[in-house]
Amino acid sequence: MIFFGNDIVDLLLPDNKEKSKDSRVIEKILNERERKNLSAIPDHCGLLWTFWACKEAVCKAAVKLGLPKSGNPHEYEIEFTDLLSNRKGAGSAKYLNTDFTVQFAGTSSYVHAIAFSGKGKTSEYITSIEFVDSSTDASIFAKEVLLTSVSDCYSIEKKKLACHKNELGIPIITNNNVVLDIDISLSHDGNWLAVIHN
Amino acid sequence: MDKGTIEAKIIELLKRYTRNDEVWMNIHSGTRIIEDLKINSARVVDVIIDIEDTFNIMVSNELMDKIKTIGDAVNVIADSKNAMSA
Repeated sequence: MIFFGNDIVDLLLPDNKEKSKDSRVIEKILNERERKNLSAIPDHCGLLWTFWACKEAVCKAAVKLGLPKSGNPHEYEIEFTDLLSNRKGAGSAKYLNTDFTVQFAGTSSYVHAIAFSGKGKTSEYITSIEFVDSSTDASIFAKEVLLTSVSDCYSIEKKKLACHKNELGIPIITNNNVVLDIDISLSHDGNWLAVIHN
Repeated sequence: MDKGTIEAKIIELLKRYTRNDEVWMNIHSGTRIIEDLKINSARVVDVIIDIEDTFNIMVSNELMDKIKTIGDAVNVIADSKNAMSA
C-alpha cells in the first residue's frame, strides 16, 4: 500500500517571507546539497518553502509507515528531478533509508507538496486547496472540506462520517465509528489549507 | 540559570507562537510543543532560533530532534549552558 502525506505553506505570511532571507533558518532547514539548489534559483522564498513542504509531507507519510518522526529537517533529504519552476515539479526523497516520491505545485500565494511512500510511486488522490480567512477555525473547516469530499466520492452520508487522530497522531476517517480504509492528510498554514484523500 | 527560570523564559517565548490561550491551561514539562500548544511546524525553526538568541547557545540540528516537549527544551538548554561553563 502506498501512503501519502501533504503540506501547504502560505508564501505571503510575513514570517515565511522574511525567514527565507535568514541564513540561520536556511541552514537549519536545508542540507548542503539542498542549499546549492536554493542558490541557483532567484525565488528563494518559493523554493525554501517548497523544500520545507516536501519535508513535512514526507514526515507525514513516514509516520504512516511506522517510522519515528524526526525534528531534524536535514534527515528528510529532498532531490528535485523535475524542477519545472519552483512552483511546480517532482522529485524523490529519502528518510531513514526509506524512499519517497514527492510532487509539488503552487502559486505566488502558496506551495503545496505531496509525498508518497516508495520510489517513483504515486497513487490516485483527490486534493482540495481552500483559502481560509483569519476568523475561521481552520481545523474545523479542514474537517468539513474532507468529510464533504469523502461523502461525495464514496456516496456515504456525511453525518455518519467523522475525522479523528489515532493513537499515533495520524488522522483517520470513520463511518459510524468504523475506521475506513481511506488515506487522508490535512495541512494548514496562514490563509491556506489543503486536504487530500484517496 | 536554574531550570525553573529557563522554563519560565521558554514559556514566555513560546507564547508568541500560539494563537489560542486555552492551550496554556494545565501545561507541564511534558507538554508537547507542536501537538499540545498547536504551534505550526513551520514555526519550529523560528522557536529554535529564538531559543538560541534568548539563551545565547547553539542548538544543532541533532539537538532540534530532541526538543519535543517543554521539558526537553529546558534540558537541552540547561545542558548547553552547563557545557559552556564547564
